[in-house]
Amino acid sequence: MAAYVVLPIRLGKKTAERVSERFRNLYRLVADAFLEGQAGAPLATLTTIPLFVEGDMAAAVPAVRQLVAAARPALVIVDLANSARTLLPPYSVVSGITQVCQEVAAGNPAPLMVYLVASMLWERDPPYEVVKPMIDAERAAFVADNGEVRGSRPAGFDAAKYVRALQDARRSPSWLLSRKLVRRFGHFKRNVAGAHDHCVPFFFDGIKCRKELSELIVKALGPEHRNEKIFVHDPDSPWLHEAARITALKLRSELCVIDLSREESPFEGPVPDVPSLIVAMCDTGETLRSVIRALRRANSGCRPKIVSVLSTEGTGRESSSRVLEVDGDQHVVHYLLKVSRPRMTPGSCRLCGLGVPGLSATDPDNSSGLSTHAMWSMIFEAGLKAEADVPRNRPSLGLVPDFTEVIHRNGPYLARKMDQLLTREIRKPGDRIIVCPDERGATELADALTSLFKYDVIRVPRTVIDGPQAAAAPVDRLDEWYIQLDSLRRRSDVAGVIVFDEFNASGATRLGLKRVIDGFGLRVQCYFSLFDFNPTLRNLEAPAHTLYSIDALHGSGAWLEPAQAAIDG
Amino acid sequence: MPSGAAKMQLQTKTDRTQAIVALSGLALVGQLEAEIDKIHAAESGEPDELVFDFADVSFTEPTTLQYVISLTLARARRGRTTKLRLPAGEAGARVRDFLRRWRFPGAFSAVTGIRFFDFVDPLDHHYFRGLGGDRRPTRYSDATGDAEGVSESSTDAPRFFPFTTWKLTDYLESARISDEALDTWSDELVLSVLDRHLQPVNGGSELASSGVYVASRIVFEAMTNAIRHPGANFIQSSSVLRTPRAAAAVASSRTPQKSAADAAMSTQPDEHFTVTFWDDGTSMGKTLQAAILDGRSVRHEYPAALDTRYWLTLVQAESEVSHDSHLIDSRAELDRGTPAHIALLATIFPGVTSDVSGRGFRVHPELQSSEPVLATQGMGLFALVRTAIDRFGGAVTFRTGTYFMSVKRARSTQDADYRVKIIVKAKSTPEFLGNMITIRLPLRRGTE
Repeated sequence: MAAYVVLPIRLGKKTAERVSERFRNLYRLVADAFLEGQAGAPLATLTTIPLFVEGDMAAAVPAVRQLVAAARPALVIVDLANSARTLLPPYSVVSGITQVCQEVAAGNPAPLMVYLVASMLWERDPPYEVVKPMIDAERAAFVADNGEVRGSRPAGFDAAKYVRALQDARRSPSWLLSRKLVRRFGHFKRNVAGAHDHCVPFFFDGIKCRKELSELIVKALGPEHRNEKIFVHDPDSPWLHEAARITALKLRSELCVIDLSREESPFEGPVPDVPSLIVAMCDTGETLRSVIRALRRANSGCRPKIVSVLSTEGTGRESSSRVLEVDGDQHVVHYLLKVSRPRMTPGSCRLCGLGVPGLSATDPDNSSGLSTHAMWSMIFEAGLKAEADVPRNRPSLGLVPDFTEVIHRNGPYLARKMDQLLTREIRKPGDRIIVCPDERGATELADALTSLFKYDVIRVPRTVIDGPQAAAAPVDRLDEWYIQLDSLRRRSDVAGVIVFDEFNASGATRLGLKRVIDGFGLRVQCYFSLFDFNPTLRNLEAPAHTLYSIDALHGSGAWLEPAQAAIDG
Repeated sequence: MPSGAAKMQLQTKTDRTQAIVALSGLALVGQLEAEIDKIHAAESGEPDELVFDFADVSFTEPTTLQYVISLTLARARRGRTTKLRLPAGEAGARVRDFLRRWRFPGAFSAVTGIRFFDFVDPLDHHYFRGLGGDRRPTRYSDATGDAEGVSESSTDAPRFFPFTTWKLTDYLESARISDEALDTWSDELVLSVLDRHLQPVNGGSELASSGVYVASRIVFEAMTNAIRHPGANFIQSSSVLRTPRAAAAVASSRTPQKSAADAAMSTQPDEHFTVTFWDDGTSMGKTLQAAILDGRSVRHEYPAALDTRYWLTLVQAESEVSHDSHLIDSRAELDRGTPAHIALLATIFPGVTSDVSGRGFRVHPELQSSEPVLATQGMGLFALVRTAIDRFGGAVTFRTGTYFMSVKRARSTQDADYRVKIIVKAKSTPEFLGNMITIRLPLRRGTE
């Protein structure tokens, strides 16, 4: 078996991470192809190599040199395609890695070098020129995200398999869509024929998912719809317009916006027989029926290929379809994600009863806190549960919101609110490194924070947080959290980390995490909790922020019983 | 005044000299600067008050506006006053909309500290919307960028980015500025538009994304270059994509008697994508020359494949004399005898670093000396120029200190890779404040 080494470079990052199993599978696939099925196990425990700026390369090189010298690999895979940002690799990084590998191999056969890049390099790009002599000697290759290979391409390399493995490693567009689509809370009044018809408690906002949306829409429309006119109907979802524009650019299609309020001419230009039609939501289907009728008034033979981003009905959770009947004809509606959204008639809407003004879906949402309505809407939806694992230093809170479920259902919304608040409080742009307990709620929020805002999230096991001397306790140095914190310890340019917990009561978790962080010589920039039951607790050396607070420790202990009654009722 | 003409007027009021530069039709940076240079060359020298009279202007571009910002800031530091007459009437409405849409007032104030209202001549205050002016629908849709950094949306998204200002003291780490710019330019919509409109020339590979190349090799490198300039407090960037349709609209606005088709035919050269970067730091050529004079190493080894030859023409603006053009090789010696204009040219050589002070690098000196093969800085501007010219068939210009430098693909007769023209400004012209890099790329035909 032939040995191979992987150098997972992560440009723009400060925190090293353990390489996930999905990425290991990707590297294995590449190694198998380039070593023609003779790939052994990679010769090192894989951790990423963070290069915040090009200059970090020099600090990383001794370890790279040691690794390559010890392994004497037949193949070196340099992953330059999976950084925090889509950036073509700088000359200094490609040149440095290449020179080190060649230098180490001096006197021996140089390893085959495979560089994974986001987009294929141009032949006259300086980094390409560095590798070109090796490509000419069939000792190197570049592999781009789309599976294109330049250089020595082995017969066993399957571009489609590579693309699938890469997508699996990075997470599929559907997975990312579900982690990035924000349910934005508010009192949204919906009109039918100009009159108030019902209210909805939230609207969906896909402004951060345009890439995923366009990929999924292109896939749903299929290659046969290239150059076909695309109609988009999006009066309440401006984000869809941008996703549709990207789709149109990719498919080389004309984009046409439908405005049903212009009864005489809701759109411009002719309607082809099979245009594409993109809408944001298909709920009862009434609006979509109106759109289809408008198209058919212009061309009675029109049968659009319909993609709805969201649907409240259908057979599958994602990438499925439903049938909509319009004037006796059946139309298939492909949807990307199935969702649910309650509707309140004017008599049953609490906010209408309280006289709260209605919002439009297009109103900006720039407040950095959570409204009472938003917080309790989420809690009512997720439910309450008896508090588990009550610390010994305080009485039980009795019932507490099911925060894990709140985060599961609202991760992107909470992540956005959290980012807005932190951006306001920590004015200077800098590291956004979250340290939190390794628990399900935090994990879901971490997914949203990393997908939406490029945060680094370090999840520390509860056993380490609760340990009496966490920093000194014996730990497995290959644990993800240890690798991450250890990589930051060795830097001098980390402004501090953000300590996060779902909710704060006694402050014990904060203190436990602080002990862990202290052990690595790092500073706490601030504390953050979604919900603070003990807002008067201020014995911290760094500021504490929360999205919502209520003093639950100084009352009767039965503070949530009315809420439970409301849910039951 | 005929379209495209300029008029300069000098006068003295009491004990203060005033100069008015009136442009008509197109307000392009070269023409504007030529008029300003004439004012400085006059016997009275730099005027106490300068008025940019754009009343008859029907078209301008971000590069011109960036020059206005830089000059006004430089004059303010010298205690001079500068004013602006806005494009007038219905004919100037499109340009006023352009100024708003490209967020020129905010960009101007952020850097100069002067309220835009105070910059505009009081005679034109009636155009301010707060005072009831320009209430008709704008020609350009509003940008809907928000706190989340959404760049552009709505119907004219492809026209690209308005002025963006980065204040270096707002950042703990200046590298974040390059990342921010990269994030904006890596937006999927931006990449898609650039992929659609830009194409490689001379049989260059179609596999590489044009959008990713602009983001990585032009925007990121230009920003990384700017943050390394000593003394820089601000960086600004702006861009415009002038598609055939937009170019035709401009043409028809300046020559209304022509049909739209005629206008489109006559304005093919106007179809371009232009991006401008400016910082108020020390002149890049001067910084490099200072390092050379200090005897510091500014060169790093690079592969022979990147050897580059420049066909250089030096022009003295004062005498309008062109020195003989000659070839310069990228391995030309850089020493204490290197003239200032060659030092400026050397900033785009492969392997020559623009970061002689090490501001953008945090390499421990020990590591740097033990890992000499890694000290491979100095490819940023070289990669930028090569991408703009060789990949996209465009051109790059630099305005800094007392120099204007343009870089284009060499003619086949010149036995060089690039032809470079360096204009040495007249002694009477005050030094340009900061560094302005403008990249102009032609568009793929038939993309509308």
